[in-house]
Amino acid sequence: MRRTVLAGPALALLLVSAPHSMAHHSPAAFNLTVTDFAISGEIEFVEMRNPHSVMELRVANDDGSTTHWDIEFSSVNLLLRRGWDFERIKAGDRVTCIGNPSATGRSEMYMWSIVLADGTEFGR
Amino acid sequence: MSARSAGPRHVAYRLAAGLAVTLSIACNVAAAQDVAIAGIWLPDASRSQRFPAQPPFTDEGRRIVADWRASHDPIEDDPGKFCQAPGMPSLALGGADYPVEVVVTTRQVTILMELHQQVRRVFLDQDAHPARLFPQRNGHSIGRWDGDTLVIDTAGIKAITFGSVPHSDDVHVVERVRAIDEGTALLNEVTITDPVMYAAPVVVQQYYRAAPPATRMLEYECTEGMWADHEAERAGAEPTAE
Repeated sequence: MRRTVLAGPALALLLVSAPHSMAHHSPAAFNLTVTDFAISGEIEFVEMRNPHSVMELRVANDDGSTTHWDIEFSSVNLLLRRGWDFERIKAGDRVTCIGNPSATGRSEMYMWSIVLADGTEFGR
Repeated sequence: MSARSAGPRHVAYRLAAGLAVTLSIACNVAAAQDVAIAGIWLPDASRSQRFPAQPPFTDEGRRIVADWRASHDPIEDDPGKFCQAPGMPSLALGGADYPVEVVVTTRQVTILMELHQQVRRVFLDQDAHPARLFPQRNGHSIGRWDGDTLVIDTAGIKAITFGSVPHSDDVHVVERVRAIDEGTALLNEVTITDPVMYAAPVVVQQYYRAAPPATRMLEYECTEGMWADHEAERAGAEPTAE
């Protein structure tokens, strides 16, 4: 994996304009025996696509720091058929993501359902 | 008027030809509407059998699968990450929750699978496979009607070790597809024979249920994420989920 160190204006520009790279994971990347893992935060980026949709979530930690979580979830086709309203899941929204945690301890999860700020839930 | 202009006789010919094409299309459409297996179906996991977790591997088959597993990381080397569709015979079994549309004409049954936008063409006007087949993911399929049952014979399938059915390019698949339960369900009895991989034929029953009437097939573009990765690399961004 290529790592690039950027600073100052270059980094600021990148944060605004860089395309988001979030890999598709195999089920082996997640602990499928735990289905009620939940985290809450603010959506930084979301894209509904195949084979899996992706979301970046900014989560506030107890010590005041924040962690960027990579959320993977179902394909755009299946979400559409399950009635997910994409107009209501946008960057800047506060949501709770529920599903399988990472099997390797990373800040990643596979989301099966999402709860919006007004309590609306979309799931399977 | 030039010699190439459409005189009365030309016009009559064109009208006749146009009518023949229209009738031909109408007959094909009528055939499609009359055949019970035509329509949109959803895989029914509650009734379907799975390909056995411990199939009757030959020694060679067991070695091929063991070598694959030993040389591929289940997370990093997941073929799904690269939008790899395993092709036949895997796609005759299941298809996750994605619908399958069966279109029937007099010369061909076309099976459109939403998952990975895979297409299978079953030629009804061929009695045999070509003598020399170049192996491809979905193989070469010929079909015939046995009453209301469509019998599909598929050969020329490219060897693939991943997916639900590891197979060699000697694999041969026979499917018997028929509507059941008064047309509300579809049963495909799939017989997989592969002398390289399996010591005996493996038979799997795959069920489908009729999709709700409002169901429409969707496109399934799979490579947007890979393109996003490429764009991110071009921009020098650090991939966020690797």
